[in-house]
Amino acid sequence: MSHTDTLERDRPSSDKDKTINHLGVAVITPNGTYPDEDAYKRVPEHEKIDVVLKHAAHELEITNTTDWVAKVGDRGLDPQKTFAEEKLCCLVDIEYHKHEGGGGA
Amino acid sequence: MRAAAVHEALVKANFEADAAKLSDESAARVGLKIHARIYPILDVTVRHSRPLRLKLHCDSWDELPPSIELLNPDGSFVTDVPHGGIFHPGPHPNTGRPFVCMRGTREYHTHSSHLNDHWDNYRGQDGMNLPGIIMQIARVWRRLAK
Repeated sequence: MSHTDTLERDRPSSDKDKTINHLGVAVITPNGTYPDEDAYKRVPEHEKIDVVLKHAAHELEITNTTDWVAKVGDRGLDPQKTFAEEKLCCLVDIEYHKHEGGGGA
Repeated sequence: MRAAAVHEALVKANFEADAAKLSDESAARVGLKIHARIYPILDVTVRHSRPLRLKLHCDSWDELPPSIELLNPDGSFVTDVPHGGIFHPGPHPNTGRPFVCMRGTREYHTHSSHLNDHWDNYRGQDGMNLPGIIMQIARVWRRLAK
């Protein structure tokens, strides 16, 4: 089963699907939104957040995310955790961009 | 004269390509409201209990970073900014007002404290386009503003 199918696509669900909780994930970046403006990726809740962020970066042609931050609302995320570990469910909009720098003028 | 016209057309194309990357729909999903994206102005409000309106002047983008005005929702200038982070109470020597002291803003790179940190160090980097600069400022505003 691919975890990258969009929720909008009709597809038959397997027995295995029924035992795994999924959520819908969108990643909003300075280069655009993954998977697109009005869709969410169907992702198993035990997937590491970083996997989806890397996939989004690849699709949006972002090559360097070394100092980028991910958050939902005002809450920062640890990309090395799974969606379940970060207590994310249902539909999730992740904001993903470079960390701010500067200050001290 | 023709060279100036070509340059202006190129700058405008750069602006429009960048501004288009943050659609109204995507902006709304991350708490931003776009009022205008008409060259050379990108006008955005950061939704928050204390909203912040950012007016980016993007003439010469991306040879120069945007000059950013910090505004209240009614368009008046913000006179007090949160303490710390990337917000500086000013006055900035060029504008006479509080400013965003963050790489990627014209006020930062023209401030005497940062003249050695050139925009060219960041220009073209992933995440340093116009939507990326706005998203960085919005993140800090939401964290600091009361």
